[in-house]
Amino acid sequence: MQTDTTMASPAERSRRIRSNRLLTWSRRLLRSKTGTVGFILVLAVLFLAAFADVLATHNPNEVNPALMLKPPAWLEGGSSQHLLGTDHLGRDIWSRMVYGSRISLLVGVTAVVFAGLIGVAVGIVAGFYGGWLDRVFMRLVDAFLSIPNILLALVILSVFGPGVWTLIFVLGVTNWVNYARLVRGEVLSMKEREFVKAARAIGVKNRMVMVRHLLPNVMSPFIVISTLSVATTIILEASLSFLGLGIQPPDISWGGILSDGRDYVATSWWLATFPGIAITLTVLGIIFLGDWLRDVLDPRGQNRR
Amino acid sequence: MKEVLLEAQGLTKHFDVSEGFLKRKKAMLRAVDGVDLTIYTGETLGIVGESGCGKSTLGQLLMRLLEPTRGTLSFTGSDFLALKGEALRQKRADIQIIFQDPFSSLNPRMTVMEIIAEPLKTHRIAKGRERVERVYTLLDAVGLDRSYARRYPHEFSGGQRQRIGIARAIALKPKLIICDEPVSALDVSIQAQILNLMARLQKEFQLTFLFIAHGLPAVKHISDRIAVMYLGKVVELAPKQALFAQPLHPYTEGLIRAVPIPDPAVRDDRERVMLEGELPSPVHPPSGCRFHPRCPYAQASCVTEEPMLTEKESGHFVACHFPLEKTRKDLM
Repeated sequence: MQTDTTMASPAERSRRIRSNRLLTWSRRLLRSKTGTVGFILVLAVLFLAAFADVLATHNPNEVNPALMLKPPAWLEGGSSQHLLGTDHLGRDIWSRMVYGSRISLLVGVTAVVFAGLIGVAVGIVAGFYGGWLDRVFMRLVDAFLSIPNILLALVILSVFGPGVWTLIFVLGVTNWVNYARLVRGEVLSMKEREFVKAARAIGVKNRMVMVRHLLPNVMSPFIVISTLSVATTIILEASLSFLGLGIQPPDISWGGILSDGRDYVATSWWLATFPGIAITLTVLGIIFLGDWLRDVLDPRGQNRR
Repeated sequence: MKEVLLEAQGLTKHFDVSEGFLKRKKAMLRAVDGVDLTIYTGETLGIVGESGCGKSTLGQLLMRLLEPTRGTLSFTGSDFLALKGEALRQKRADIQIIFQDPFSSLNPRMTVMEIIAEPLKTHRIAKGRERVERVYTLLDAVGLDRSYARRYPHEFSGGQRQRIGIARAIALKPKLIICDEPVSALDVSIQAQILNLMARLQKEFQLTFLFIAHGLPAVKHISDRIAVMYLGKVVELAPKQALFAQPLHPYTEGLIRAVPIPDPAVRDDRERVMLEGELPSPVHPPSGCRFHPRCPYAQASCVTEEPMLTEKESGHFVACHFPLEKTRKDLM
């Protein structure tokens, strides 16, 4: 191993290392059942989102009063024309679901990433420096926590007007505090560990201590919480859609379809069920994938997986 | 002529442990309370004391991992406490530390290569291939196989991890290494190996050690001089031989007596004056001599007057109103 890497040309060597890395990663993925399931689920949703134009059988916004509230194809009264049935305006649910995956994924994932970036940065800085900086940041967090999320979201959305990016901003702003608190707590215990002191003794710059020593060691709890909150974010988006401040027609989101179907749950259950299942499976996939990711990122687990 | 490497005067560290709403119950933990200490180039100074006597805090003060409340500190002839920011960061290369716990002293997410290369990277000492070579040389120096460089800390035993920590500490060729109980977390069989390694590296790299331990046996082997700490103060400081041959402070005597002697014939010969009681709280230290509540020889003046650290014999300092007499030769 040592000899054959030194003999190869640098380009050849880096190519070989890269393909090796891909191989070990995919091998690790296949070895973990949850990882594989999560990966397949997430891949499926990404597939829906990417090929929505091909997969959709109808124009998702095409209203057809003649075909209102048709049940799915396999039930009595259903037709093969509308695989998952139609909604109260006669729109094809399958096509709406397929298109809805785009915005739901975009909103769910981007909002969590946005919130995560702010939360982790604030948490690490506050925990590491302590003192007045910590106090200021944590009082800010308390202030945010004292306002109900949905209220804050309503205020911001009514000021700036609804829209996909406003929505992402709103969901991010209401969520970052959770990460900030979590990460700060982890950092407080982590920075007393001796490897952090050793880094300071070496003269490592504060910025590098945070990036190289603290950040990688607070990632595990962060991954767990953030994958879980993709779910709550998609749901929160649905609630906002229900209040009329979420995704606005003609844009479609799973949350929107779900809240559209809420009035008809007693008579036409499929309206709310299918987006519900889609949200559940997506969230499950992300959680599984996150779980696996946490394990492979921890060097202590490498031999087991 | 001995060259002074580091000199501390009146070094003090108080921690605020006030309690209650708006800190109404004021309290200060006097971890280190006015320590004068000189470390000479090339020597090993042992620091001994019970848990909670402030020896680890002192070690961290000397290298400015903690900022002292009061006192002065000069290192290689210049005021160490005056350094700030970038200047301090550069100077840090000269004082390194080896920790007690080999499990929390290495970042679990970095490979051995990354851990040992970090000091070189931070101070821009070597790059690329050369840096890798330097790390290999360091691994050789501490007796670890070069192939270990790609592994993570959790794959190693306590002794091996300690070697990695030592390699990191000597990477910058520091002038002084603070060894904070580097072997007390290890198996006895491994302790000797690590001590021998440290002694060898000291010769090889002309290192000066400040060796912190909680018992005399641990420092006896490696130290040139020994300082005994009690409740944030140095109570006795002497060359190793002098300290063991003739301890002047009753606390030092107690520490020496506390060492178990395996041979029963020798053991029975000596009277067992053992240390009694607990270390008092450093938040409310006793008046006068801090050792008086536990001292078998305490007099009235010990309760009211605090003894200063004074030179009783050449190089032999003690802080006691009634230092022990020469008659107690039988201690060794």
